[in-house]
Amino acid sequence: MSVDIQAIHERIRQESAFVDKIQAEVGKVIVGQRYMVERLLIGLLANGHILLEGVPGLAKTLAVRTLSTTIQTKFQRIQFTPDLLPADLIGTLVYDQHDGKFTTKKGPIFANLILADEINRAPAKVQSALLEAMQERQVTIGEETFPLDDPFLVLATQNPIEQEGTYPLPEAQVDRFMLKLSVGYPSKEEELEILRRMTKKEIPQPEPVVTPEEIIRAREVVHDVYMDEKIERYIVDIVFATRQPRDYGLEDLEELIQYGASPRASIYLTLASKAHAFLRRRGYVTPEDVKTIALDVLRHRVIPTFEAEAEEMTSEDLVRRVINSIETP
Amino acid sequence: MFRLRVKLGLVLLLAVSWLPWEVKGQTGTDSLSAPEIRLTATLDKTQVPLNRTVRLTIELRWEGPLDRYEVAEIEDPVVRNLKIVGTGSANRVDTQNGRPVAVKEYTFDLQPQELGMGYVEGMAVLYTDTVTGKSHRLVTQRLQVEAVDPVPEPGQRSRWWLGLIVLVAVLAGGAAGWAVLRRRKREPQEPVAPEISLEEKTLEELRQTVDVRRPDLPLRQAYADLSRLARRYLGEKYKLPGLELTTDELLTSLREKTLDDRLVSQVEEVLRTCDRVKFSGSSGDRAEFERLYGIVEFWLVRPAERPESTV
Repeated sequence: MSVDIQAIHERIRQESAFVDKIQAEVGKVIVGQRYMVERLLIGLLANGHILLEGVPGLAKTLAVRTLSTTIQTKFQRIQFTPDLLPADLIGTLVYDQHDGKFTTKKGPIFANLILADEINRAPAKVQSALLEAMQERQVTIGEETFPLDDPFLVLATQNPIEQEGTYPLPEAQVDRFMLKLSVGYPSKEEELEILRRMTKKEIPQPEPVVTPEEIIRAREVVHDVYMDEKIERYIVDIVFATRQPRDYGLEDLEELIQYGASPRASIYLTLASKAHAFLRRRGYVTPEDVKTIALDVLRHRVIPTFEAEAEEMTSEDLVRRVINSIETP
Repeated sequence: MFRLRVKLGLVLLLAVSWLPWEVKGQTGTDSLSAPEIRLTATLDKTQVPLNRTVRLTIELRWEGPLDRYEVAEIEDPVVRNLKIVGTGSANRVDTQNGRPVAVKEYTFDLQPQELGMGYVEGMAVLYTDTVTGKSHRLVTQRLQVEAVDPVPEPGQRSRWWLGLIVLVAVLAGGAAGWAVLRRRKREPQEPVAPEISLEEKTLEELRQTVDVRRPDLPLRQAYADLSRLARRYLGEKYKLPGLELTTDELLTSLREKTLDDRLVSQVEEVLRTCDRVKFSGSSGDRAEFERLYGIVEFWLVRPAERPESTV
């Protein structure tokens, strides 16, 4: 058995040239946040939607907006509010008095990149409309069904500290997001650079450097990144350890995990690991790729029990325990 | 005149008769009508067990009304090898020979701290004659008490039988030990298995798992086995979860332990090359594998010459 890794390497070299350009353009505006920018690119390459969680002011929205500017594509920002209606999102039928007919008015969801800002501020019916569109990649208005553009990527943000007047996303709907990012504060040096850069008279503007076609081609290469059976088994072990921790010598987690990760987690962890290898310009996946991205794929898929919450253990703590306890291949 | 001298003599005699027992108030230039004030300091025991207290009583006594003298607040006495655990005070009026006697009493409960002598240093008592407005001072004598062994608390049974049981157990244990020693001396000594070092154990396993002389050596599996043995060895040697860490994590941990750079680069070469073959679907190269095998074998065969940790 021998895989033509050289050919994959060559294709990655050709198709990943835009990654450096995007990072350079995003770096003009965003200081630091390398973790967040890299994950956004993984979402873009692996065709997975991303939920960004972090306190206000961490450049979540700015990062998404900047990323969209670097891609010659249609971008829509939707501010989720309690009075938003599904029709405001997906569109509606409008009666035309001249023709006496109903015409379709498409909503802002018909774009390549969607920023769903503060997604947990809209009521459940609006969230459901968005999440259904995310899953099906199509929208039905009246009697007509419209496919959504390709690439179609939803980047949703939510603020973890405000609970008043919010509608937390149900677990089943959170599962639709490939990654859930926990955006943290910048370092002292980064903050110094932020205040210098953002208080200048002219704030730097990013330039479009990549076309949607290039991204679609890169996605095809991501799918071809080689994943050995050992890595596949490693991914399955990690996911199974969240469901049956006892089988992996993690008896103490048995009482702390209410629900483990779904098979969708295995699929997304595989895709995200391949995209991570692509970003490292490698034609095959290593355990490093899996371990690096596993926390972002699993943190919203492992539901802790009341006992875990009483012990102040978050799903992130549980996932970390699992990842660090499984033998690497 | 003669009768007056006789009376004065009697009064003096009476006063002197008190001297060994009590400290008398220094009236100074007071008029003779000022009643005599007496200060007494006593301990109620001469010996006190460690788990008991001794009571120090300081008493001021004078004839006449209670408000004739105003006594300043008495401070806690200075004590040595004793601890004040309680205080109290009382005023009362007695009668003596049909005349009122005022008594002010201060009590201090003292607990010994250690076996040996405990002392209460002399205490100064200040008082003011409310008629003349003059202030005076009296000092008590130094007192002592001996702290002795604690006494059993009420209800606490004697534990002599417990001591007896312990003694019997010690004697029985000693006898058993002596019997075992004698038997061992009679039996021939079994040879003690030499302790196998981590390097020797890993080398043995490496040679059993990967036979480099085999012409049909399954190379991909051999790379995987070599990588696993190297990780486990490094993990055990440097107290790291070698099998759970990825190559990057393991190298970072080894660098944090300030290992020799040469060793870290050897580890990096071995693990990264093995990773490439294991995960890229490559079939591997025999000459390359033998070189890596040689590096790992070198760590295990000649540990003394291997670049060591500087930790």
